[in-house]
Amino acid sequence: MFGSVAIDFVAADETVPFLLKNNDHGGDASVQGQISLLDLAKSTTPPCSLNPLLFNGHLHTAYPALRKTEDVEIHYKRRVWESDNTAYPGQFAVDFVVDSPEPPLERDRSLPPRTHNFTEQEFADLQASDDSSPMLVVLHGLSGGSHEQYLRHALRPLVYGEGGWQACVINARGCSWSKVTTPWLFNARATWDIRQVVKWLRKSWPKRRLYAVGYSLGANILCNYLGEEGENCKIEAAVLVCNPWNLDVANSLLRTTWMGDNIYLARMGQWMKKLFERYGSALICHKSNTI
Amino acid sequence: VLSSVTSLTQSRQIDQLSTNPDIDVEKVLNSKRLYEWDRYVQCPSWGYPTEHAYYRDASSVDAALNIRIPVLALHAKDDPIISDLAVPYENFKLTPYVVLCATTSGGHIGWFELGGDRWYTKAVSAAIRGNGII
Repeated sequence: MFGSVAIDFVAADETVPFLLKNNDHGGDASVQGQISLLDLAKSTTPPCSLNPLLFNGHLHTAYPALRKTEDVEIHYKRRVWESDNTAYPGQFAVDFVVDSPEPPLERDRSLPPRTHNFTEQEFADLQASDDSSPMLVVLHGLSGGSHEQYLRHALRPLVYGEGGWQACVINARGCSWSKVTTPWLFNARATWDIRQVVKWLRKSWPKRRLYAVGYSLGANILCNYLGEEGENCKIEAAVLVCNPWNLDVANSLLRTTWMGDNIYLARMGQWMKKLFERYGSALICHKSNTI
Repeated sequence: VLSSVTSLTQSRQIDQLSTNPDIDVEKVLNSKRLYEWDRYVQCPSWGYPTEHAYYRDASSVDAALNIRIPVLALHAKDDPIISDLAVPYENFKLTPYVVLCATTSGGHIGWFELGGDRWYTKAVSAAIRGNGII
């Protein structure tokens, strides 16, 4: 088919089994018993048919910058957390998906669009719920945040309309207009904030099943976290989207091409410098005080 | 860039420079590439000797083998930021918990369909929902 893209699945010969729903729960009568993770992935992953005008990876990557893409409305309420990590204290912001506020709230200029801080009462009410909705924890990419279009696009069908999911986005320290109070930002293996949030979610909503999705650098952090948790992981299942996996290899290969060095690494360097310009004082002043 | 250099040099932050041997503001402000930023900010922040040491230590390539929950990894082979050579194809054959789903096209978090929808959004939803069959 025009624009049709091949999908390869790579997995071990045997992957973990899942119990299939029986017929009483709306499953297909012909499928009963167990299904392996690989077969599940093959049967649930939709066919991939992409815009044929975007004939290479650069065009797919740059498309949101080249052409105005659909606005995806997701509303958040933010809660700033104090880290419980004694080695790397500090604060970080978690944005919970909420319904569109009625009546609409005035834009809070200190936060990304469609984002407002929880009042204490609202946050207490949120926590008081005893529901069993599935809940998604989301980690964004380098220097991004809950406002990223790629992230909202995937959230919308889950959280609004008949979606039925709850969701929150953990903003990497210093990202998404969150304040930095310590001499460090995030890094690619900084798993302490997601660990703290998942513990809190598990305790606050014992009936909710927790899932996670990470994008790009957020996928790298999530993968590190899931590996560190091992057998004790409180997440049911996770999706890693465009994980860089091997950062040294990815970086070195980017440096070998003109586009990689002058477009991608330069663009990502610019994003980070913006963060530094915003938070340099916290990184530097605090550091000099502690030396 | 020039204006931000000016605003920073005019601020008291530049005074902190001489008392802080770890972060060299001048080098940070002159850095152009992500690896330079990592070299001049992340390395002194976290104590890595080089950006390569940081990248090696923070990579998730081997963490994948310690995962004990079902994970689906989406990747496009023409991702211009994450080279196909950075993807640990051999690891996925060693663990029953992680399955890689690699498409021949899609770029970096792109996967644009005709009409502007994005394929991965459906793949993510389907994967975490189990599409009603589990």
